[in-house]
Amino acid sequence: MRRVLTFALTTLLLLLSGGVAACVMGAVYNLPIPFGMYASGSAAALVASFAIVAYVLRAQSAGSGIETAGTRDGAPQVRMPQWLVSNLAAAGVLGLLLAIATGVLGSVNPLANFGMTLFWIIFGLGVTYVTALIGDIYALMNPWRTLCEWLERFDSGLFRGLLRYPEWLGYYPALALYMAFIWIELFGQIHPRTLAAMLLIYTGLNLGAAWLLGKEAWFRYGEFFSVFFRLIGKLAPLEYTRASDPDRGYTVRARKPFIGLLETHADHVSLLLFVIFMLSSTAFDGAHMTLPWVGIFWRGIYPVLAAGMDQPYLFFLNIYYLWQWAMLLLSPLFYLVIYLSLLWLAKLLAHSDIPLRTLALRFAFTLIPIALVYNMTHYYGELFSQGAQIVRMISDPFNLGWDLFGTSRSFSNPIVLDAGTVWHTQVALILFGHVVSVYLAHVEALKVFPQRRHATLSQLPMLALMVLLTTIGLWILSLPIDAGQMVAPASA
Amino acid sequence: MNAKLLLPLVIAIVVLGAAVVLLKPQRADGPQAVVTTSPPVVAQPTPRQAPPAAAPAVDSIVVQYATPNVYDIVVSGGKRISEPAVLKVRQGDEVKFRITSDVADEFHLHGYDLHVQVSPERSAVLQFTAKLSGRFTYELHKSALELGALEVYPQ
Repeated sequence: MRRVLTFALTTLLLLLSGGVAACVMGAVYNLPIPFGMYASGSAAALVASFAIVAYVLRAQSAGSGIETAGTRDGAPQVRMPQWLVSNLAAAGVLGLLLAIATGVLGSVNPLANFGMTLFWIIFGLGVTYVTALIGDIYALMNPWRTLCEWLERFDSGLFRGLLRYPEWLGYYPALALYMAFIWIELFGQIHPRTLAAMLLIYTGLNLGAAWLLGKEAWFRYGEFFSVFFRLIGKLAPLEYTRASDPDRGYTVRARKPFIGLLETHADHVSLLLFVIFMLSSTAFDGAHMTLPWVGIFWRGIYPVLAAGMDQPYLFFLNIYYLWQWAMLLLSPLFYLVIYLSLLWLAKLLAHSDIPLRTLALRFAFTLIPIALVYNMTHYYGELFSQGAQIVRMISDPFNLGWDLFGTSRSFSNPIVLDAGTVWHTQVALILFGHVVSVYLAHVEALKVFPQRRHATLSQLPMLALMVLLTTIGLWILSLPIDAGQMVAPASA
Repeated sequence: MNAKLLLPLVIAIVVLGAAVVLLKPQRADGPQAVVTTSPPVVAQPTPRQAPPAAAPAVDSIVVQYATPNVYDIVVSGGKRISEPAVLKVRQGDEVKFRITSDVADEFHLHGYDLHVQVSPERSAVLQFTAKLSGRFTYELHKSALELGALEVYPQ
């Protein structure tokens, strides 16, 4: 036990002794958006919100209604060819193995390492955005699930599960893994080797959990990427359904974009918290290296501590890191309070008897479009600057001087997007996500608070919620950024 | 528009306007008055050899306001001890970094992907045109020590 504690403490201290890396990859960040754009973006969000509310209310009073149910029964469904499903699954496993292998054997420079770019940029960002467009393809490519299924060919009951998945556990394992993922991304100072180690550990974790709790339950409730991509996939106009037959067929059906967010609701508080963390973790990432945020500690907290404690600078620097970590973990609370308060107000104004908890679960998915555009506005530049490097790296994944596909000289200079273009794209993306979220929230509100007398009033808190989230998102984008000098002096 | 929404809309505009103004960042966007090294570089810790970048060798230090975007970056004891952390210029400006370090390393400006060797015996000068807009961090590459950021604002 003591050895475990010593190891944990040593690891913690080692992590603390490094700098606070703002991001695992890429050192090309976005400029803060000008105040004018932030202000006019917020105003546009406000005006758009009222326009949408007016439209939704008019449609309801005219009796035409808004189609909220998916066209599940009548929609065309296409059976996916088995060779495609098998190849996608194999590609997922190949990607995992390559990421691990190049992490160990490839370039030690994180920006030049194939596995790092593949995992953090292509997978973490690229697959997320592609999922929003074409649906939850991760469900078909999940390498850990595929490994379970391959192992089941030798023993069909291997992942049936020793224990029944406890209902109270919900999606908390996925939430915990999500928090760990973001912590690693922001503070972990990951190098290629540590990425390989993390992926191996995660593989072991998934296989072990699937064995203990059952493959179906684990990949539904516990595996972080499965939960994440399933939520993002609800935005897309394509839905993939696994057939019940044993040869693992899939069907794909078309539906209206975003309707997936209304067809189902969050079924556990932990899933609501997961969505809230999608929002809050990206907001935190955007805010935590800005001057105002960093100033909260160094101008507000540090003087008080330094007055009371006679300790060297390094001591306070470590407290600063712990403070940042704590703020990341507590960040969902900020958005949760806003969300629940405005929902409670909506319930009050609509004279509704529905419990707040039920309402909170029903509206949870309407936050996902805003969470996604929060993510896109902060990270999409990296997809261009670092993501394009994959074209070059794929010809020489182990950094041995190969040129397998003839692309080893492509994109030798990183693509840097013009700042003006980035600003306009960021504001446009946030407004787009806002409009989608507002529309979905109001359609849901009309279903939940159907009394016509209170329809208008009950819409206003939801409108305020969305405008607030969007304004906060734009505001974070406009904050001046610190330049990461919080590095401990070189230790002896 | 629905008449019942008008009053809430007006109230919301007023509240939002107040919030936006209150939350306006204190510093103006865009470059500040360009900061050069205010005194001529007093500390010349080591004799300079010919700098590896394209700029001509500097024999005597004269503050030249004709080329305003000159920055001295001095690294000592594991951190940058000079200049503000964030340097702001406009797209198209000429920028000159004069880098001094007490450890041998490689100075690297991301985005522009410019590298120059520095050592206690040999300072370096990096001169370039800020053609790309955006925010670009610079570091001592081998120590992975992030020193600061250059922000290039569009015209």
